[in-house]
Amino acid sequence: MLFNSIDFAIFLPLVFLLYWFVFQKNLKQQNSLIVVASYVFYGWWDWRFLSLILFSTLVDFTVGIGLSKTDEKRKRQILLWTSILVNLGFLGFFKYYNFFLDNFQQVFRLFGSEFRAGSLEIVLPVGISFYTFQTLSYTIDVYKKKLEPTRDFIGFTAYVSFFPQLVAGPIERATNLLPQFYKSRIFDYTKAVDGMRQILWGLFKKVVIADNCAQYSDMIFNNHQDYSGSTLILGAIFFAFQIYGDFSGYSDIAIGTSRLFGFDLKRNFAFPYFSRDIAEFWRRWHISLSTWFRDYLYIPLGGSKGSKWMQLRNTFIIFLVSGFWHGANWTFIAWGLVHALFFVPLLLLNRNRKHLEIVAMDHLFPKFRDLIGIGITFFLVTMAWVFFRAENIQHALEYFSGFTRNPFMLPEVRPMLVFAFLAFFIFIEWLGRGEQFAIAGMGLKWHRSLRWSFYLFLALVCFIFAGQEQEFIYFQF
Amino acid sequence: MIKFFKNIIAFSSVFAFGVVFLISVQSFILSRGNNFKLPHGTDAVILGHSHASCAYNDTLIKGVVNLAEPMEGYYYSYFKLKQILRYNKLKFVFVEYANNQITKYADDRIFGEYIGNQFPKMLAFIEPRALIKLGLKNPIGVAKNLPVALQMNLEFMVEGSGDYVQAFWSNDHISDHVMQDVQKKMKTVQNDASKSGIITNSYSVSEMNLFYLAQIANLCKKNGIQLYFLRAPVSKYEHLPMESTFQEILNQEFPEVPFIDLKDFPVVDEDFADPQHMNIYGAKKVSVYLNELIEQAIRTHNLTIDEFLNHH
Repeated sequence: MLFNSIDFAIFLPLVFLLYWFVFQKNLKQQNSLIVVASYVFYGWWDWRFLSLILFSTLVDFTVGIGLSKTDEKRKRQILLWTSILVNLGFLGFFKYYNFFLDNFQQVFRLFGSEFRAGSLEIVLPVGISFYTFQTLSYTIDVYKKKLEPTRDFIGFTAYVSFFPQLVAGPIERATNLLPQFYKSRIFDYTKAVDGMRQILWGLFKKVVIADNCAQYSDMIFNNHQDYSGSTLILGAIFFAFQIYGDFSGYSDIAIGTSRLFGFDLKRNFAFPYFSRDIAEFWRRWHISLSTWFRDYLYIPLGGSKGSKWMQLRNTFIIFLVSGFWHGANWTFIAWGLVHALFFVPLLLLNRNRKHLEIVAMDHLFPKFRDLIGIGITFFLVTMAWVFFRAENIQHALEYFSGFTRNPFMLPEVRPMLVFAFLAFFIFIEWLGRGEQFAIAGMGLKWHRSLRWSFYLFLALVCFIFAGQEQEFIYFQF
Repeated sequence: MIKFFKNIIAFSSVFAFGVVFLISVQSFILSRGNNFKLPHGTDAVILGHSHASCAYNDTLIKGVVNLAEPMEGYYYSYFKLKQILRYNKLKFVFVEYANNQITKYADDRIFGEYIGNQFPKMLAFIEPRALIKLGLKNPIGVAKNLPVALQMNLEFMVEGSGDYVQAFWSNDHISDHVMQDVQKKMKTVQNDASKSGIITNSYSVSEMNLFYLAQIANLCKKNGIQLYFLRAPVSKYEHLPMESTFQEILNQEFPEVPFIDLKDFPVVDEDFADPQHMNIYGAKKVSVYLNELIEQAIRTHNLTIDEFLNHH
């Protein structure tokens, strides 16, 4: 079920009413409702893959119980690896099998021999990378004794399948979300209204910004040979806004929806396009994934401790794995590699933690130096997105080579409406960059009629552009 | 909780009002005359669905503009004609009176499965009462297609050519594809049709479509326009449903409307893109013929329509 669909517009109020009016007095029933709603939400797309989520849930729940019963290191390790192998096994099978097979076959062909094995005609289960990482975090935290294993199966199932963030994150840690299923929830007006505001802004990002930019970035990327260099650069910029609007929009709707049910999810985006260098960008982009990799991969590898060579090795590993997490294609690995290369100079110069505060926090305009930093970072990130968006490496290289075709002429594609929306979007995001999401604090001190007019404007614009009902990009990951 | 619900209801009401306001504003702006001016010398239009849009090439028919669109029910044709008549003086209107326009299946094109086909292009010109009627028949379909229509119209207003007819109602559906492997194709068509319930043993009539066909007749009468019904040729493989009811309705409900029936127009398989729709070659033959018919039997009255049909 898509957030930007009529189905969800009916589903959400229905679950909300049942949650607060029918089952409000019984925590178990509320959690059960969340499980049922989550399975309906996911099954709406393809009910067959519900068995995967259920199996994953059963394995990790059982492993958790098992871990609570033994202190023997070897037994604990076996249990941990059972969970890792089952979860990553599913992920590997559904997401990476054909990729590895194709590449094995190509390598064998290179050496003049033939490797025969049939590729699989399988559909990638939506959101498998997200819930796999979420459930893995539980087992690892229990193994490390950072978290008490749960004996509440319904609560744990609700945690794994929680519908607002099931298919595209934020990837919630068990330490943050799971305990929230144990406590009774009381309706909080401020929280709910805040949630509605975040849903509205998320929808605006998705249906107005992302879907409109998608129309033009798709057109330009798919016919790149027909366009001038300036149009290709514009196409890459459109994609940069498309993916940001799409993914952060999803996160906003997920977080906002959770707040309606009394849950607090972790922030996933913090205005990444206002970053002044790549390191800051990665502290602000897909935070739940980068912190997951930091805690479960980077730190166990040694993190920033050890020699510079070790740090460099760890940096490359984390960026390459992060790229590969996104999809079974060399383009994603190239995207990760490019980001690692952008990051390395900052690491070598010890400047990777230079910008920790919000840009121009107490000023309306940034300093010239910050502005240049933002411009350069956005340019680098946008160039890297070309790899992310391209069908294959060849496509990406051809796209880059097209930049030299009349790069200074006026772009052939000039959608005025999209430009106007982008200008409005950047303006609002800039004004709200100190908040959890752009319109979190906007207008709270305005007169009610003015504030409602602003929300009405956003809602109407969302409605006008909602007809396309386009899928979220990150569903495929 | 009560405060939250009060605010949600209040905001939803304001939002609903905003949507109605948007539709009205778009309708007001789009209804301007220069969006609907037909080419100089036009005194007739053709309305109907895909049979008509594929069969009549209006570049070969003098003074006639073909406004027929695939999947167009008479509900939409009525509002299209109304809008055209506000800014153009017509003498004749030709409406494709086809068998499948009177069956219940026609409802699908108005408010059912295919609502998304014509509804967005027509929203700005549908009268409020008729819009509510549609909303009651298929609230989800209308809700899903409202944004499509609003976006399309907004984009047209900001970036469009300023010619709504050219942008959305222009007759550009004639294919150069030649129907091949007819038997196989027919099997597929019939299978699809029986699966979707198009072919049944007993058909019922689309009351909504017939109501708006009568509205078209009234509108023409009110404006002193001579209305003609047309029936485009279909291939010998095509099943014409409810032929007796079709004739009965024609004779009882529309006795004053002359019927130009080209059902028996001499055609070969190569004149069709598929069993139901003519291609560019078939359209050329039919259009040249229709042009002659209009010149001799409608504009000049040298012959009656029946005389022309019998002699040519």
